[in-house]
Amino acid sequence: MIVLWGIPSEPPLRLAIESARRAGLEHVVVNQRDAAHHDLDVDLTRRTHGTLVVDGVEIPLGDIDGIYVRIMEPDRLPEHRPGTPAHRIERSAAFHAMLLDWVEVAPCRVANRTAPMASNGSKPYQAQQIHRAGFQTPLTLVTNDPAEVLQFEARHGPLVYKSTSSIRSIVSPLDDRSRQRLDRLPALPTQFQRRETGTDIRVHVVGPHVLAARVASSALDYRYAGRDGLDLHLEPTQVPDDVADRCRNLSAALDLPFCGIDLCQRSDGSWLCYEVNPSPGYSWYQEATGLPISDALVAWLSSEK
Amino acid sequence: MLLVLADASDDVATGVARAATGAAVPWLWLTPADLSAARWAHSLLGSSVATRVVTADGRELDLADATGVLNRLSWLPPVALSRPEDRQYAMAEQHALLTSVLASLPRPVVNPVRPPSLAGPMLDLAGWMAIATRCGIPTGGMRATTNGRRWTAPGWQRLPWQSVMNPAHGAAPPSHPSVPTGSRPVVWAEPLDPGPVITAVGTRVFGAPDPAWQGHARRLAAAAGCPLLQVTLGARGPSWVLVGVEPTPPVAPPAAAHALLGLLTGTSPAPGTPA
Repeated sequence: MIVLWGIPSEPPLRLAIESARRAGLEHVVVNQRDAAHHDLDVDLTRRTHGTLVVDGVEIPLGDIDGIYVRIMEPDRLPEHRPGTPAHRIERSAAFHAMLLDWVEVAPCRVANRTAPMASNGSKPYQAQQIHRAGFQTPLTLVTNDPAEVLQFEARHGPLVYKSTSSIRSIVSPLDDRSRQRLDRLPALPTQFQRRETGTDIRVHVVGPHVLAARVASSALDYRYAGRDGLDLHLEPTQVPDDVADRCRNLSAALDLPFCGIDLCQRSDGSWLCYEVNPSPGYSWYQEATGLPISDALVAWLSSEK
Repeated sequence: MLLVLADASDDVATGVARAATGAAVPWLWLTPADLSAARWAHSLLGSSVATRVVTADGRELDLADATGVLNRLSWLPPVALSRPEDRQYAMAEQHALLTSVLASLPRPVVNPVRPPSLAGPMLDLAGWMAIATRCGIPTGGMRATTNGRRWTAPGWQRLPWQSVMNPAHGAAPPSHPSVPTGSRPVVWAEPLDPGPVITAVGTRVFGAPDPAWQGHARRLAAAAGCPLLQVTLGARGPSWVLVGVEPTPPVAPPAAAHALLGLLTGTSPAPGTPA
């Protein structure tokens, strides 16, 4: 039995549900928006002892082989908006807290547990883990000192800047316009990196599976190519075995069995890793390339541990 | 030089700073305000990670020179900016920087950074109970349910679920014993008498009621990667069980301050090191 937890219409969860159905896998969909109507009992000292109740069906926690967690923050759900009866919000909040707590220590396969996902909350912290796993990372400076930025640029060449935390930001070049705003830098340290050139490759690791997509775009941050009216083309590709192994090692080192790894293959053939997404919105890549990411995900969740 | 990151009123940090002064170990105390006001240059060039800090009063530090870091800050306080979304962004960015800085230091950091917390793992009581159980440490009985009518535990104490299932130890609404739980979420806790509080500092353990609990505290600290850990026990008849864990204890026995100093200056072994 695998559990798919989130909002069923959201593409990554929808694709996982479809894959589970196609493969005939025993699964239960836990709709996050119905959390006030689900139940969970768990013995905090014996984690396999407890029951998940979804749509009136009781599932012993010990029967769960794997769980895919693709939830949004409960406080942002429409069901938590002001005007909803307080007891419903409390039930929903408690269900989220208790199931997340169980997931954190559950003996089954989990994609992914919460604590390891926090490595992405600090990109330079994660870069240190990435480097230890055998990938080069972009030369990086986090500073609030404009003079340091200019020195770094003089030493290492053109720079880009982006958020240091996991709060999403658009990768931007340090150009004349942004250089004029460096006087605002002392208010907040910002992450600068040497601008890399090469081919962007997005790798999804699912347990032992490595599925790669090549990205062709003239955009600096290809995620925003459509918005900026720039070209974007994704196609399935394969990475060399040693790179695939490093991706698996990185996934294991970060304790993120399901992750999206952003790589760059430089023109000299070397590989560099930008970052690892701990909750990949893989549907965008799957739908553009046909890579069977959701099939691999549900197969891994239901496989023998 | 020993680096202390703590609020100005932090008792444990004060104890360590006093012990350092007594042992003629130089130390520098930086508060969250000092960290916010400082100039930072944190560079990652392959395997070389370096951090230079210039404090508002002009002191320049290369953090590689710190002999150890006592970090008492799990989170940084909000940054004084007018727009709430800017405050949240600035706080996350500063937190991300300090996370990377603390993780890069070559000398002992107590407690070590463990994202998302800057100081040790961010676990709620349920999470600590899980680690303790894995380590074979006896714990008080505890059952959580989203529906107090579905799963009752006669004779057990009723705890607000937020006090057990919330890693940030968020404020829980009052729950008066005379108000029936009904179908509300609840955590049932085995009724226990109060027990002693144990403080583990590296391999040193203070306040343990017996040698077995010295070992339990060491094992829990090692499993959690937390050289500084405070464990609260409850009494089940003649035996003790774990009922609480605090990786950033607000106070510690005076001897613990000297043990912490030893750990930070390399004169006391870390957890996992044979004593």
